[in-house]
Amino acid sequence: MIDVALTLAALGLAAVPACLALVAFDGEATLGRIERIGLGFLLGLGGLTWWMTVVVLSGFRLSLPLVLAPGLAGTVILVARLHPRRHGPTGSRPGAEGGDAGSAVTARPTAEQTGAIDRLLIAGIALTIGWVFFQAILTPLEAYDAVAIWGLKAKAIFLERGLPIALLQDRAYIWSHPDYPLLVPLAESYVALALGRWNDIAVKLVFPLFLAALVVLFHAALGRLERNGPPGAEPASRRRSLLFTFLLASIPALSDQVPGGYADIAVAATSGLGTIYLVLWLRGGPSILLAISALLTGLGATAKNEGMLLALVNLTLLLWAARGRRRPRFAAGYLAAILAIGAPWCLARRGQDRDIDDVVNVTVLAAALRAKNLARLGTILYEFLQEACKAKSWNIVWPLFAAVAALRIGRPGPKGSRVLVAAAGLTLLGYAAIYVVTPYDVVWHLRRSVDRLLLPLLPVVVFALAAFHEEERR
Amino acid sequence: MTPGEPPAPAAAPKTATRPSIAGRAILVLWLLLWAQSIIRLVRHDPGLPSHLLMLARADDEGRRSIAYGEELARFLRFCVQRLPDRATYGLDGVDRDSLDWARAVYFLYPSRLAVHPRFLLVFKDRSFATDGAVRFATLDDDSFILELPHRPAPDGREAGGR
Repeated sequence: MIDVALTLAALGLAAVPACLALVAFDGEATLGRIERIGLGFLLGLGGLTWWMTVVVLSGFRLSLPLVLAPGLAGTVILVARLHPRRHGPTGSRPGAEGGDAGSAVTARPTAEQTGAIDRLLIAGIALTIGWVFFQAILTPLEAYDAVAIWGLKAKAIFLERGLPIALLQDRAYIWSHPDYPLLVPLAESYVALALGRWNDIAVKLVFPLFLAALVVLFHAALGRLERNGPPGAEPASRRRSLLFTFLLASIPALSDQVPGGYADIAVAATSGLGTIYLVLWLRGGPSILLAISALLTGLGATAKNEGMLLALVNLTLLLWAARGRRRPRFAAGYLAAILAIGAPWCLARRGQDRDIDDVVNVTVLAAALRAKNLARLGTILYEFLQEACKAKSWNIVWPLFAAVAALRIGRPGPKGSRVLVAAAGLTLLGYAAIYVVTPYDVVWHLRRSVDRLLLPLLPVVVFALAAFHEEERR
Repeated sequence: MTPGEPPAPAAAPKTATRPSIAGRAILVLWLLLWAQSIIRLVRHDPGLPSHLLMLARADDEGRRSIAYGEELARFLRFCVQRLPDRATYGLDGVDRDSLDWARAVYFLYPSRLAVHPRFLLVFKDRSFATDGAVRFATLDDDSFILELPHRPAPDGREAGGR
């Protein structure tokens, strides 16, 4: 229990500098308090793991003071910067009157009383997240990928206090995917550093926290969807936001997969929310939403290789959907942020013979081109459909999304559900391309992985349903 | 503020609308399937509540034993206690592609798998025998650690890693 409390405190500490930075740089007070906390956790932990990547690649020995030093320095600077504003002549920060206008949870322009249904929805969301926390702290890391890929590397990084190069280059351990990005192992090893010992139960708390951040930010984004909506939209409805948040949280695949220690929830919370914030900016949101989208998308690329595909998708959407003379500048800034976040690990694995992905490599791609693998597309489509129709995992979210896609594709309309449908569609095409070239038996490969590939798309897909609903109400 | 589209002008709010019949039907179906997923959780595994209670009452080692299986957890703890620091090992008696294999390799780190290991960890394999090996430590009749004849690994790394 002490380790659990210490873990939560360590992860909270990682979030502090990012929360303060969001306060400092959110001049228009766009973000609400709870939204800042959720983003603070994702960006704070992401920033910390980025710094840890730089440290281990530079050959320095990992230690808690070294890991926390930039965050503490940043905290001091940000507090100094914020201090005069907080104690200014008016006694409040400029623009603080509407400080929580962006929050979907706190002050709303049309504050509604919390009714019985709202309370039930909140209870349902809280129970789901609580159930995931409960499952996570009851068992150690035990699922295949959780131990073979993420946990093994995290334990090695913690015990070696650096990058376990011998392990990563050992062909006997090639099944642990030495090329995979390090956000999740580094987050787990940070927890172990804070505890002073490897605890394979405490490190699992990272994953329910990703889920909690995802749900909180999804709810805040729903409120923003309606406020930034097109002309004629009715005022934000707390109940509608809660309902769609509940729909997301209640999807069984989340409560099944998240406690196991898989990295897919990290991709969902970073890349998935990155797409949502991008769409909110495209609908007329302030520039800070684009910056948040770029940072989250960049972090997604450091969580799993699939995050790199999602980064490419988001960049494509930005180029396709943004208008105006400043579009190239925005796209360049977006790309620069992603590259700055992803570059350390990409450069390291190219330079140190760790670029040995078993699917996406030159040998496999060359063989795939020769072998006319396009004939696999039928099998891939069948397996995707079979998985998507599993109500016990996904409820009816995929059939509903297919209906929304059919109603929205090719039709003019606001940049809500259309862009989200395009995002999910492009991602699914990217996934299909991976299965087209895979050197493994395609059915075996699909059945082992397709459920986890679909999980990071859940926030985008449920948000598309909400956007469609909001557009239809006009 | 330079978004992709100009911001929406202020509009007179409409009165709140009730969900359509289709919307309500979808919601009811969703809730039924959600409730079914919860009911199935308990019906599929009637022992779940007592299993969770047992996990909640156990300490960390007890939770590992429940999660990995008592025998494998006991064997892995035995190996960690008896193997020299950062030893190299091979693993017998656990299927190479199984979840138990992954758990064992993870649990035993910083001891490492090797092609030419110094130790062979034998789990539940009574018939196992190899020339020149000596028993280094014994857990029970069919689970033990063998020390293999010393020979350098082909990559030049000294087997044993110490």
